Amino acid sequence: MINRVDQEEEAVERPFDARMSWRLALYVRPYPRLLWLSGITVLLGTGALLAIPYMLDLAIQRYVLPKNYAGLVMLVVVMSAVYAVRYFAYRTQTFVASKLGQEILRDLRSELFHHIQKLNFSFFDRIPGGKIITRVVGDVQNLQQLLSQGIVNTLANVVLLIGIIIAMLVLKWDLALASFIIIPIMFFLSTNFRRRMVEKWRVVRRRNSIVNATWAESLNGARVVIAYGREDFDRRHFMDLAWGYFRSFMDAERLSSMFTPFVNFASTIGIGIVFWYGTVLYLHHAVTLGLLVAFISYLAMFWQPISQLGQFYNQVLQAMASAERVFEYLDEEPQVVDRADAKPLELTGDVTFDHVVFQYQPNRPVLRDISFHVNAGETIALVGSTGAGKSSILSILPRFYDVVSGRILLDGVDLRDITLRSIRRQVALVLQETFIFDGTIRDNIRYGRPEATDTEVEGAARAAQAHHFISELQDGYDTPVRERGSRLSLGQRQLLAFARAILADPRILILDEATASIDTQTELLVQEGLKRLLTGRTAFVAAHRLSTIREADRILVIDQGRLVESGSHAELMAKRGHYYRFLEAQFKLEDSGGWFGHETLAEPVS
Amino acid sequence: MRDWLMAFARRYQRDGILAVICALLYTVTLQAPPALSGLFVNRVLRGHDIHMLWPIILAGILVAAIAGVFGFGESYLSARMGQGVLNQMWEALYTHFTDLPYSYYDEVQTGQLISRLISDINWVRMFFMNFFSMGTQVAFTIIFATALIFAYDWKLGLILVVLLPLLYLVVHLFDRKVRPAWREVRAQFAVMTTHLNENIAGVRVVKAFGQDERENRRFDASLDALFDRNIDATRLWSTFYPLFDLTGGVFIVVVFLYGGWQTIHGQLSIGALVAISGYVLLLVQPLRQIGMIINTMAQAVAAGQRLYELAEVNSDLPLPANPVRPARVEGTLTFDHVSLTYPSTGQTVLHDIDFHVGSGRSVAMAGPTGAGKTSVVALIPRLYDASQGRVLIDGIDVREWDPVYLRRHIGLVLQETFLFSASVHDNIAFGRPDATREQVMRAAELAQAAEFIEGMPYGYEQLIGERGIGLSGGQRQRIAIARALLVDPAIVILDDATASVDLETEAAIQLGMKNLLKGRTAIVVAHRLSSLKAADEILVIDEGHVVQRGSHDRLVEHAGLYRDVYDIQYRDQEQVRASSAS
Repeated sequence: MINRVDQEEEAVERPFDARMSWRLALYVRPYPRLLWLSGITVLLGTGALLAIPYMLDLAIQRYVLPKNYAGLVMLVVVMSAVYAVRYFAYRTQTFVASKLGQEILRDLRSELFHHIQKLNFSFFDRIPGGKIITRVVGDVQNLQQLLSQGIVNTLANVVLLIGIIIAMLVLKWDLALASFIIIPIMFFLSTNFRRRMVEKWRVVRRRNSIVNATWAESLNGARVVIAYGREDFDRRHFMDLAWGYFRSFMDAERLSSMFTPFVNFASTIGIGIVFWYGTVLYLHHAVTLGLLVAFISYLAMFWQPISQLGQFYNQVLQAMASAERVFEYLDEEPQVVDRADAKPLELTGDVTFDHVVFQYQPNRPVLRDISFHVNAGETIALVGSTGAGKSSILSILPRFYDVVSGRILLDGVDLRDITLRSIRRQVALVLQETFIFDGTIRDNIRYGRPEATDTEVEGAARAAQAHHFISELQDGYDTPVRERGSRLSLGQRQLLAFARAILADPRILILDEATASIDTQTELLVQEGLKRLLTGRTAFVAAHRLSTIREADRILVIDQGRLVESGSHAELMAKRGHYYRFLEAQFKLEDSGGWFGHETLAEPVS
Repeated sequence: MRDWLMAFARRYQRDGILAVICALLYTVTLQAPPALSGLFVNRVLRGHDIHMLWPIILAGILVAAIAGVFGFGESYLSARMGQGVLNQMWEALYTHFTDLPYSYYDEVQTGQLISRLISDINWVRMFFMNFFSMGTQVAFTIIFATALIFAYDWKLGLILVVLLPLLYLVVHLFDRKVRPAWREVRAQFAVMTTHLNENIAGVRVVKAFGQDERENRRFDASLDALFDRNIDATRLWSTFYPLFDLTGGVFIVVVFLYGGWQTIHGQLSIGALVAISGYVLLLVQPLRQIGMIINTMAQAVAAGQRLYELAEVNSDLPLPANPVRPARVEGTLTFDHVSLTYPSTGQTVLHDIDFHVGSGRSVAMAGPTGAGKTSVVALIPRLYDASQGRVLIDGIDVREWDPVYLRRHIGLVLQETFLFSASVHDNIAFGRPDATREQVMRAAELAQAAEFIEGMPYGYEQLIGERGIGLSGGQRQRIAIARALLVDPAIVILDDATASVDLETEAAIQLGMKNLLKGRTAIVVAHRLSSLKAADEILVIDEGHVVQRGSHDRLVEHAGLYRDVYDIQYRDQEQVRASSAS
């Protein structure tokens, strides 16, 4: 809105970089056939194009002026054949270039996507999703254009330009040289002048995206705007932005509107030169009428390749910036990967933490020397204040991150010696924020086990207490849902996630208990589902509900990255140590009377 | 609809008319070069009339200069018209959308609305920018060039007139075939980006269930489909597009076959032949553009219709004839037998709600999700109008108040805090954009937000919201509290404000809350009973009715919904306490 601070603006262009270009060029390598084909069609098509003016010369000089109609008809037949060749060559060239581009686009996107799948959580912690998507969609598209149309068209343009120059020089070298005076002007227009235009249009695009973003924000935040009575202020602000955009648009348009007139003027000068010098030569019988006509036709062909080469130059600079961004992701090393000798393992659910140290950032350990052992089938509650390290323990158990030192053992085997696939198959995670995929309810429950039958899906939903609300929906299990805009309540989403986990039937279950206060009725339902979910497997729960904590076989109390106490609820209560004090603090918080300041407030625990 | 659209164009009528005149004159100048070439061949070369050389060259340059001026005028003026219309529509629609009632945003899919506003308005702009000037140019180029060919040789003209529809047929087929193919490409592209979006947003679940292989396959499948659609479209495109080139060639061949024969028999001068070739080439481009113009028009009409429908949505909150703006707002609040039926669904969500809160006092609302608590709250700043009964603030019906003035005196903190993509400062100063940095900092301090704000890289200038750095639920909520504090409201509404944070974060927020509530009338909605038990009065709401009311202590004593909830939330705790006390 006001004072919009663009604290992270991405570069639009980068200078030419040979190493990066080579790396890009490697993407073309798998398609030698397409490259050859495009080279041949470019030569063929350009040759045909270049032949036409020369044939005009022949038509006039050989047949029309000497009044040889039969010859003219013959020539026109040949000319038609040339046009046909031109058509087929041009057609193939367009198709091949585009196909090449699509192949590269697919390869690059697929590679990038597969690579991103392998990256660690720390990558996703660091980089907002929108940015990743922009790169996979937008930047890859930029590269594709350069690598397909860019290469083929540039080839075609260079061949055409050289062809025109040679043809003119061969026909009449001094007249050719005279008319080449306009080439520098044309180049100036297509590079310098165009660059200024490109820069102005870039300003326009940026302002336009700000206006669009403001639109989006005003509508998404419309309730807040109305509630705060900000309508007039926001409208003025929006109109300032809109008219700022208008001014930048007209500024760019002014320059762009001059572009074509300048180009036409320059080529008219070129034709004027041919008229003048051509007449001088003609009067001395050094050139023929037909040749002058051919010359003017060649001159008319000049502009297009020069213009496109100028465009190509801009494209290269933009592509360099895109390439840099795409390669940045491709060069990101996935850190959590299978060891060479990692093996799949059928788990029973036995878990050991052996002097585990873990950190997200260097020198800021969040877990310091954690050791414990859990038998298969036990339910473990993790207790501690926010930031104590509960979530970190839950994240390293399915190996989303690697420990810094120490070991985690599943059934006595180091986690890193088991394949990731087999770990993730048998260790399921239910997160605080349930993610709903685009699809039906059935698809969502089946997510962890796509081959599950409908009966199994329904069984899981029943066990999770989700069957009731699902069967009340209009299409039952076939009701389409999606992440945004689906009408599932928080509680319902949670139950779906439980069903999903039950169906996946993991040996080890990790649960980051949702803290959102779902209303109490739903909460009862969720608790019931939760109980079903926990039975028969090893479970780790970062618990907030007292009922869950109490029913756990064992409670691990975590404080500042250390395991400070462990035992059952009764044992720990009797001990009157950390756990006891923690519960006390929680009760005191609740007792402080909420938001109404009639009593003194307890010190917040932290 | 037409009147509505044309009203936007009125201010730029002059630009539009001038652009069309420029287009016409530009088209006239375009006809000169082929004639000059013909003249050059006939008079200078064939006739050896050397005196004509310079006049022809100078005329050519002069014509190019004049064409340049008109060409510039056409393109600049029509751009100004299109862009001006766009801006005026923006202004009108923006005003419209901010004037719409709060309830409008309950149902509407804002994402869809936004893309409509962006793409539909763009079609309207394209229409005003291209239709008149380009239409003029296309129509008159065809007329002039054909007429001139007729003037040189009417029989050749006739042959070309027969051939022209052939070219148009190519254009038409091209449009009919290629356009749907590209539409398919765009649709598949949307599928691909949806997959991508979902994968990135749900990456934690994907990994947790070890489904990355499957995601890879799924994404590759959508890439393959996109590839196929693209190849389909390209195949059509590469077949048709070079046809324009080819038809130009067919014309030239015809000219030479017939014109050459005429020339050989002395019926046509060689200069005329050159000139006619020039006119024939002039004809190819505009024919190609006809399809584009027709499409722009069709799209613009459809887009204009949709925009018109959007602009037709009416505000259903009538403004008072004499809006009241009392100098001092005390903040007493009365619900006088209020019922609410949503006009969009016809569903009655509140039945006979009746309560009174004195200035500086508090009322809390408890009850299941969907009971109507949020609806009660929304009636206070007049985000909706009651269907029956009255809502009074300081004894004045909210319908008598100036709505903007009323809302300025109400601080609203919702469960989901909307942060704008702006600096922390601007987000806090949202309700009072003229606030100084000191005032903003003071509000942040009271809201217990100062510490984490100062810890951010850019402090109060830090960009937050969708395009800025992410904040935790507790931090967002504290910004919202600071926002509410800064407007210094007489009435504060907390609608489930701490639902999405844990108990400890809530404790941190509570200090800020206390500062916000001090000396103001408070209306609080919460699920956690501990948050609301100290309120002066608690209303228990179920299915739109007040089913219980009273203080916490009284409500707990009597059987009812409140006691049930209390039992569920506190049973464990009480037991634990009992056991630890023993």
